[in-house]
Amino acid sequence: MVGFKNRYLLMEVFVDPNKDFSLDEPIIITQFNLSKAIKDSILTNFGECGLASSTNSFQVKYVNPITKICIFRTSREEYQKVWAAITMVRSIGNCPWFSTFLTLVEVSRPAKKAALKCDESKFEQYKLLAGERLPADAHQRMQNCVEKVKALEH
Amino acid sequence: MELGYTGVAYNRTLKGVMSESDRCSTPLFPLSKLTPSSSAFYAAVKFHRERLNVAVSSSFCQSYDIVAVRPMNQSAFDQTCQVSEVDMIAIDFSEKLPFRLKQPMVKAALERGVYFEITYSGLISDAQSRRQLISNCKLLVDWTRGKNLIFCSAASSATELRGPQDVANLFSLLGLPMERAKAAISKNCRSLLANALRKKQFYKEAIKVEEIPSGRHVTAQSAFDEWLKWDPISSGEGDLLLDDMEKSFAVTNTLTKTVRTVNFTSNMNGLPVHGLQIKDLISVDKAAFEPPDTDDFVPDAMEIEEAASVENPEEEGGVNPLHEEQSDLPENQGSLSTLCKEQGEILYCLKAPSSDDSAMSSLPTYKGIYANSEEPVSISSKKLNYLDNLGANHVAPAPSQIYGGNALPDGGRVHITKIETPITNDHASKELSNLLNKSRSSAFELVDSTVENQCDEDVSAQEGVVLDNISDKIDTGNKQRSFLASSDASSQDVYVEGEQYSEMTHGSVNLGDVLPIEGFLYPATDFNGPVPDDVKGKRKEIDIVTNYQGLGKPRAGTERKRQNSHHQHFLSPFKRLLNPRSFKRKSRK
Repeated sequence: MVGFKNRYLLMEVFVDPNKDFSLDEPIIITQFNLSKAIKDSILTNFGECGLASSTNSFQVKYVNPITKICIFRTSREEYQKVWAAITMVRSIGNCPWFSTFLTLVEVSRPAKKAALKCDESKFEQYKLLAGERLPADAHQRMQNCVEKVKALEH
Repeated sequence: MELGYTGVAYNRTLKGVMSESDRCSTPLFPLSKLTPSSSAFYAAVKFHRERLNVAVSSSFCQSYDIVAVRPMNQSAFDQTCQVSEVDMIAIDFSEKLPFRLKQPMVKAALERGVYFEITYSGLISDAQSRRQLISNCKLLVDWTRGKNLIFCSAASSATELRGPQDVANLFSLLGLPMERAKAAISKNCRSLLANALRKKQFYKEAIKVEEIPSGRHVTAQSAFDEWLKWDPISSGEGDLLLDDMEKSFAVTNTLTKTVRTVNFTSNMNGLPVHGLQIKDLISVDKAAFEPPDTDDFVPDAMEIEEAASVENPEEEGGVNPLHEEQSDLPENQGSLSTLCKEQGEILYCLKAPSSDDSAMSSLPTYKGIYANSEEPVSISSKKLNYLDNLGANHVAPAPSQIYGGNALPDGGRVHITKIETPITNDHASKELSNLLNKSRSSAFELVDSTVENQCDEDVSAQEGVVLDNISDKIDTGNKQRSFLASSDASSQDVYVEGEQYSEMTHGSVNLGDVLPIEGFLYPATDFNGPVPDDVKGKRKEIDIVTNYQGLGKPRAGTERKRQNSHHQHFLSPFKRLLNPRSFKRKSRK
């Protein structure tokens, strides 16, 4: 039996909602800066112990910088705290941001499925908004991200 | 909206002693683009809340959907909990509380059906306010256990909003079980609204009766479907239906007659500010909502206009306000009609209110008649002209149809509870204005006007015309409300204290409860949460049957009793779990 139980949080991130939507994003979200921001938030809100107990299984599994969909993995005991900490994140780097909860699943497969679905719909929106300004490589990047999702473990 | 909320409460804070000049002005502007991210259905409902301090008068209450009180000292708090006729008590927990929360007070408030509001933007903003908030409202959360609690964001900008589930999770940190927390942002809000509406609309056991317009060819099936979708809390044609919106955006600049869209794109720039401040003038032009096309609320809203209402303001109302308003009419009409011509897209136009006499005389004739817009049933001459004007304007651009019911809101009402009218005598002077002032949220208030910009580049951001909708109707049921529509819908308006609000319509009313009619208004305290800070998540559609039941039994007490029983049912399984003895534990997650 598997000893570790995990929870996968699927969330959507909004970066700087006050600005006019544009394709030039002020900051590219990567796994690294996301996880750093969240860990900082856990530290300020829950302290050293909170950080320690959640860092054990906390991982940013997948980030799509175009559609801003993210999957986080946390342990089952700590997921509420981590989720709250993510909600309370106010800025990443210099950009104000906030996140929205999409789904919470227990194994990674439905998380991947949900992520794919969300990715697609968000990408459609993105294309709509972008109109003709869509950069040429956007499709390619999307493709890469989709591959990454599929390649996630399990 | 993107976060998945289905309703927006716009907050208007009044401070100090409220005077007659304080009216309710609700600028609304439509969302130029919505991204349907998580919830299937978006409806923007417009609410107003006032934060008051000391009881002054009750005539303002009726122009708002919800009245909230923020007590500033101990005695005020006691008074609000025990006596006052408000819908909600909002306490700012992010600073040191000037008074203590006492459990018997809280209990008394709960029993009376008063809701407590907790704002969560303090959790997000900075550490100090976070600490204060958590420590202060932990008490409240423990005592109420989620019952009669509502979570709102007092967001000062769009960054401080969080999605409904996020909010629920944040409050589960305080010890509130997740289910209760989720209910607090959805069910409780809805029931608060229902209670508030009920208090305003009905008196004791009155029942609202709807008439189906005879002019409409509705099959039995479709009629029923419409009823099922009828949402008594929604603002009627203010609602944006997701499908409609998507269509409207898909077609952005092309208006075709076949497209039944809700075009909220009215170029606000063209609209003179004062032109929108129509007190009472209006009834919304339901251009896009043609009966055969209905799968949206609006037609239902129209139907409900004819519903019975307790007050018969037009009967008793003073004539004076009306005359004033009518004098405003011509210019407003002029401005609006020109606007309509220009835009060609505006689906909402303002119609002249019917005059006092005509309203009354129209009453008997109007029943059961769902007049077409052209029929001058209970209309003053001005109104007629205006309608013609509108009709002419709208033929070309869009499939516009002015609902007869819409046009003649006053007449449309079947007043069942005429006997209750003595109540209205007090507020006679305000009644008329009530009638006439009905703002419909034809547009949606965005969290932040800048969010609009973000959302859409193509479709110009609009601020919808908020129309005082004469037609009363369902939804907010606050016939009494009149909202100023100012074209500048942004939060700036809110900030200005003492701003001229549109006139308050005072409903005499009704109390769903046995309690006295007068709502106490405490003069407001500070402004809080300027921008639509209250975003309530409502994902459920109200089952029509329960709706009717709910309306039919305006007694809040019974509802509370039902809630109580739910409460107990809910508790009992937990009791077993909490029991430290060696019972068989159900593995409950």
